[in-house]
Amino acid sequence: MLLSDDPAWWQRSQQRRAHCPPTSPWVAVAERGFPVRLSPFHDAAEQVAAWERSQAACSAYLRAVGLAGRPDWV
Amino acid sequence: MAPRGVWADLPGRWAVVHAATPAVLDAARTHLAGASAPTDPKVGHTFLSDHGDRLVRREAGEPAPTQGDALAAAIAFASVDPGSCLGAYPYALPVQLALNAVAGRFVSTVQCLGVVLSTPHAPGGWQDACRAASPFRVPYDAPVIMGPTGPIRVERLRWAALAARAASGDRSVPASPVQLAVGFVETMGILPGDCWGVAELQPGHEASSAYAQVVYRPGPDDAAGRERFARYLTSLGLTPGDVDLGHPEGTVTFRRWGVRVVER
Repeated sequence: MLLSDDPAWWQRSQQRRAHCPPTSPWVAVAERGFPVRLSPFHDAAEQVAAWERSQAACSAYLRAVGLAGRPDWV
Repeated sequence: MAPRGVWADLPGRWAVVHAATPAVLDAARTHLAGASAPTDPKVGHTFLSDHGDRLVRREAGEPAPTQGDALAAAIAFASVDPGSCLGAYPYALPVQLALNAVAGRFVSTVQCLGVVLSTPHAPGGWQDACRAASPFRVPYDAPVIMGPTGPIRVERLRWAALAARAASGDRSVPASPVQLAVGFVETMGILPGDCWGVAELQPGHEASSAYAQVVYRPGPDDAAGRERFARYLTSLGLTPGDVDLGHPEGTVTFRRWGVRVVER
């Protein structure tokens, strides 16, 4: 499910579209997550690892939906 | 238009803002986070892990450089066209701030350590040359920065005015900073190919300190787009001033002998 599939998103989208130019693109938002530890990081490597995991997830999403090679759509 | 790195309430959260074409939507709805995905094409995330004040020079009396200034400098230096850019956003690591370390009271936040440009391929080592050529002069008194691929504009939208309403369940207002950014992008009519990236960041540990950032190439109808965005905000009971982040980074008050003092 996409964040932009949420019924509340649709309600807000209708409000936005009333003020958009006709050429305005329709935008979708994928918002996902994964659990990470919330206890203190004592090691910079742990912080970087959490960030890189997020980057890897974003890259995987872009490839899976065919956008990794379409930066003009992202 | 950009993967979002980290978010203080849940450091593993990420988002991608992109065009909603039927083919993409079908694939996106079925893709599960963590599921296997093709290994190609590669996505290059170029980290420029320097603080903004080292990449962008500001003298005493001038506003302290922002992470957006650093992004604009990096985009201009690397000549990255927005149509070839998957994302432009802060390099921000999850950290825990100790409110009371003895009592074990920590809060999650993010620490901005630089900027990232994501492209379909690794652009190849420009970051070392960028660091060597820094600091750059990025104008602070003009909204648009001219780069080799055209004008660059960084828009930062303050979340505080909407945070309480969203938290109370008001479904009319954007539910997060990134959704406020989507409202800006759509009402402005910014095409994905004219946008380097959308990001959000929460300095500190209060949701009200969060803001969204859109880095885009302004077109000739930029002023008209801002009027449309203002009308959209009016429909929410807000004004452009309510979402104006201002400059919480403060002003450089002293700079000499390698020492820099910023007052906020």
